[in-house]
This record gives sequence, structure tokens and C-alpha cells, in this order.
Amino acid sequence: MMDWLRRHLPFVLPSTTIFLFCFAAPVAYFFVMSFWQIKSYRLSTDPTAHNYIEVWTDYFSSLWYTFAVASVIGLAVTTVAFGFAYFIRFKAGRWGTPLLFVALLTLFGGYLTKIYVWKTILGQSGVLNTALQAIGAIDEPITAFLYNPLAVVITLGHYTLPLAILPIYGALRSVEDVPLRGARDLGARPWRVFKEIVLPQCQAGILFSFTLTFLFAAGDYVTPLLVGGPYTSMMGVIIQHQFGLRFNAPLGAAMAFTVIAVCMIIIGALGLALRQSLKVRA
Amino acid sequence: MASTDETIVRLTGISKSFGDLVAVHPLDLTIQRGDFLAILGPSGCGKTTLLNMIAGFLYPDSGTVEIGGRDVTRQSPDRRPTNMVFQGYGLFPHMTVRQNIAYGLHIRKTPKNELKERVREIIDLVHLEELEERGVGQLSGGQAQRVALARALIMRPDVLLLDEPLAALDLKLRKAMQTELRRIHNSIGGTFVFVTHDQSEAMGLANQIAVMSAGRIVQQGTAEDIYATPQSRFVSTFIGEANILRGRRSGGRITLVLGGGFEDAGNDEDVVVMLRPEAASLAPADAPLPDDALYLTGRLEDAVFLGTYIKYTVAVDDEIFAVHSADTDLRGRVAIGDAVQLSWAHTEHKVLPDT
Repeated sequence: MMDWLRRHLPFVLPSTTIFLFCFAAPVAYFFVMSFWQIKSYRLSTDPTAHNYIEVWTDYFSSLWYTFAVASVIGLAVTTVAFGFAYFIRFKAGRWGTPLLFVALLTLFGGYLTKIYVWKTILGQSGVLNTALQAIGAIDEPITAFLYNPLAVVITLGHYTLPLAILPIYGALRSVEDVPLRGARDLGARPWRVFKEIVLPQCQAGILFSFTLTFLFAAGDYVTPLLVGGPYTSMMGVIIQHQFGLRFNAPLGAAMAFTVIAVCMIIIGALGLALRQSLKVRA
Repeated sequence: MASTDETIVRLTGISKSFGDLVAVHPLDLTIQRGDFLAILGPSGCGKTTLLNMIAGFLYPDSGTVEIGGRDVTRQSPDRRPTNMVFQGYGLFPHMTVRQNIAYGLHIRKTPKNELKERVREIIDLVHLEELEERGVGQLSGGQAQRVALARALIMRPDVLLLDEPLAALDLKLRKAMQTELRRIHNSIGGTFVFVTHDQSEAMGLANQIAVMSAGRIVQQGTAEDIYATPQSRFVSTFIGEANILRGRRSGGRITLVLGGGFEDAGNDEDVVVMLRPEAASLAPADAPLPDDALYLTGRLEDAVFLGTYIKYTVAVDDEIFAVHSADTDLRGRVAIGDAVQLSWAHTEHKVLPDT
């Protein structure tokens, strides 16, 4: 044990230190804080579950809405990413690598740029409305394009898509061709080959992509604020308020841990469902 | 099961090109039920393309594929009564040995009891007992080969196709698998077609050999037939070892480039004369010549003892000839560097077209 430490410590010490002080310690601190309470503008440190009860009662609709939007984004983006990755792995031939590169290139410009791009496209005097008016499809600009849940889904989906393609593409690359021909030879129609040979081999990649986009969407508070409109109060925005305007860090911490717990449950459940449905029954 | 008179596969005029490259020129091939056929040829001769057209992974540009009397030319592999053992095996990496083997029957919705029974049967046949629940990643090359074989055989195909089935195995395992494949073919019968570039594998396994060269089947027959009466220079050198002498026929007589000649009726043209190493005799240069024999004189370059025979290498001018001799006394009468006489009877050589 001492020997092992002496040999590996120089490598793990810096990262362990950073992790402990910059991540584990603050998270532990906020976890403890989530059981504290603000009573008449004073911090009371008597442990209570009151904050958590408040999250599940007063903020239930926001909680539900957050996970609904995040799930829709996670599922939609993972599906589109799978289609794209599948295409470049199996159908695009020598165009595969350039296509993948183009997809990654869209990451250039960053996060805020994408939000404003969609504001420009979907806004009242935006590209879409102007175009529709120009061809005479509408008389008045449609205000419903922006400031709604769909705008949040589109904007966040657009940003996370290239990130979701990579893990799936990585998994599909290690799916070999000969077993697919083998399955055809043994009588499987193309759809069965896909479901029983291709999909089970890239389960981990699919779950990874979903996790990435889902967590990104569930934790984001900028996009809903800028394109989501007044009624689309996602948890990220509300949590940010607790730490900012509301000066109620304990409630904010309780909200954050609730979101983290629900995220883990949803991802775990999806992982199990995926494994069950792709289990080999032969 | 031995070869029968019933035709199981009939290829008529099938051809295949990839862009400008003609992989298979229009060719005919019939395979009898019970045959163990080797499609033998150097790499790039179109043999794998031909196999893929029988399996349905490629559709021919022209011609028809009939299997069991049914036209399957445009049918995909899942609809054909063939199963393939792939080069590199192509096992399903996310399944156990048993799941791999049962997959085809599972697709056919075989009743559970029958499926279990047949899996048991096939596992016994290929000796995979105790390995059923292993992942296929934990298998050795020979074991993976058996799983690939079992996975295809369990379907009881009309024709079992094997694409270079032993190429990935080391020599010792290859020999063992050859014996194994023959045992399996003998015990279950059925028709096996396999593709190989290794003539010893073809001769060691198959009762029928189709030799391919540059997209054409240049000769088909039993190993013995092809060895004894090759129809071209290519076949003679590809199946077994052969000494090739160049010559020209003119006015019913062939004159060899290295000297000597003999009567042989036919058109005036360049020909090759093929002589098997075991059909030639070697003697010291001053030994009396057997009656009516052809001979060459040269220098003994090498002599290697190979157990049942000694392989002599003789240089005549710049050309190298091989002589296999089981005569143990000869070794004492000729030494490396000696002038020697290489002779053979007229009846031993074959005159072939130069292709």
C-alpha cells in the first residue's frame, strides 16, 4: 500500500487536491446547507427537511416542467445524433469523416451566439417571420415562435447535438461489419440486425449521449431565460434566483440536490430500460 | 455422405464487375449434393466474389444462381438455404457462445425444446462442451472457429459456405481443423463449398476442386484428376509442384529450348512441357541413359532430406528443376556441385498450352 502510494502519488495528487477543494468540499458544504433554513432573514442551522418539502410542493410544477423539457431534449437530440452517426458510419463512405468534421465545426461560436442566432431566426422581426411575410403566407408576424418551450428545445438541441454525436459515433465505429453480414446470413431481416446486433453494441454510447444532453438541459439557466419566456420557469433559473435575488441559499441548495437526485434516477432508469429492451433473448 | 448425382447449386453465366474491374467473367459451375468443393485460386482471382454471389451478399451482373432447383439470383442472404462461415468468423461480440449458436434458430422461431436439443447436438458435434456460457471474446482462435461453424451448421443449410475458414489459425491448429471439418462433413453429410488460396488445404479437404484464375474457373475435377491431367501451365504449377520446360511445336515435333525434342501432333505454336518432380530421375552425368528417355544435363545445386523422399535441385543453364526421389542409394552417388543427368520417359510429361 505504501509502495503503491509512493509510486502513484505524484500523478494523482494534483488532480485529487483540485477535486477535493474545488468540487467535493463545496458540494458537501451546500449539501449540509440544504438542511438549514432562512427564518425572518436569519440563517438557522437547526437541521430540517423543510426546504425539500417546499421544493416538492411549491415548486413541483417547475420541477416537472424542467424534467419534461430536459427529457424531450435528451431523447430528441440522442435520436437525431444516432441517425447522423449511423449515417456517417454505415452509409456515407468516404464522406463520413468530412461530415463529422462539419458537425463538430458548428461548436465554433459558442453557446451565447447560438441563443442569439435562434432569437434572430424565431423573433418577431426575425428571419422566419420576414420570410413568411415575404412569400405572403402570413400578414402579421407570428410572435409564438419565440419565448416558449419549443424554442428552448430547439436552441439547446442545436447546441448539444455535436456533443451527442461523438459518443455514439465512437460506439458505432467499433461495431464490425462481418457480424452484421452474419446475422443476415442466419435469416435476420435488416431491422432485426439493427435492433439485435447494432443497437446492443452501442448501448453505452447512446446512454452517454443522452446523459450529456439531458444533464446539460436540466441544469441550464441561460437559454430558458433568454428564449423561454415568462412561464417557462425551469429549475436552473429558479435556483439561480435563490442564490441571487432571493438570498435563500439553503432553499437553492435543496433545489439543486433534488434536481441532481432526480437526474440520477431518470438516467439510471433509462439505462435499465435500455438494457432490458436490448437484452439478447436467443 | 459422398457426392451424388443430384445438382444442388447451378450457376449459369454469372459475372460480376466492380467499376472497370471484372472480378468474375461469365462462368458456369454446378455442385452436386454431398460435395466438398474447394474454390482454389490466388488472391484477387474472384473466388470470394463467387462465394458471395452464392450466399447472396452480392448479386451477379448477369446470369442466374439456382440452389436446390430454385432461382435465388435476386434473393437476399436471409432468404437463401445457405449459411456461411466467415473469414474472421464474425461472431456476435455481445452474445455468449450458446446465444451465438442459437441465434439463427431463434430468428426462425424454433420451439424452445427443439432449439435446446439442436444446440446440444451441434455443441457435441464441434466439441464446445463447457464453453456455452462464455463470451465470445474469451475464446481462442480454434474455439471461435468452432462457434462460427456451429452457428452456421445448426441451420442445416443446403449448402455450407466457408470463406478461407482456416486462414487465421496456426499451422498445427489448421491441420487439426482440417481433420475436424472432414469428420463433420462425413458425419452430417451435406454440401460444403469453401474458398482457399492454399492448395494443400484444398487437396486435404475437398473431393472436388475448382481452380480459378483471373475471374475464370480454369479447371474443375477431383484433386487426383487435376494433379494428373492439368489443362494449363497455371493449373499444373498451382496444384502440386511442377517443372516447366519451354518449347515450340513445328511440323508435328516439339523442340525444347534447353535442347532435345520429341514427336507430338498438333498446331505449330509455343508450348510448355510439364514434368512432375517425382516423375523425373536423377543420375550422375556419365551414367547410361535409359532407352527412349528425354534428358537434360545440369549441375546439382542442393539436396534436402524430407523424410519419405529427397528433394534435389538441379540447375540447367539458368533454370532450376526439382526432382523428388525416394532412392536412398542415389544420395551416395551424386554430390552437390556434380554434373548430373535429369531424365524422364516420354509418357511422364504433359504438353500444355502456355496459359
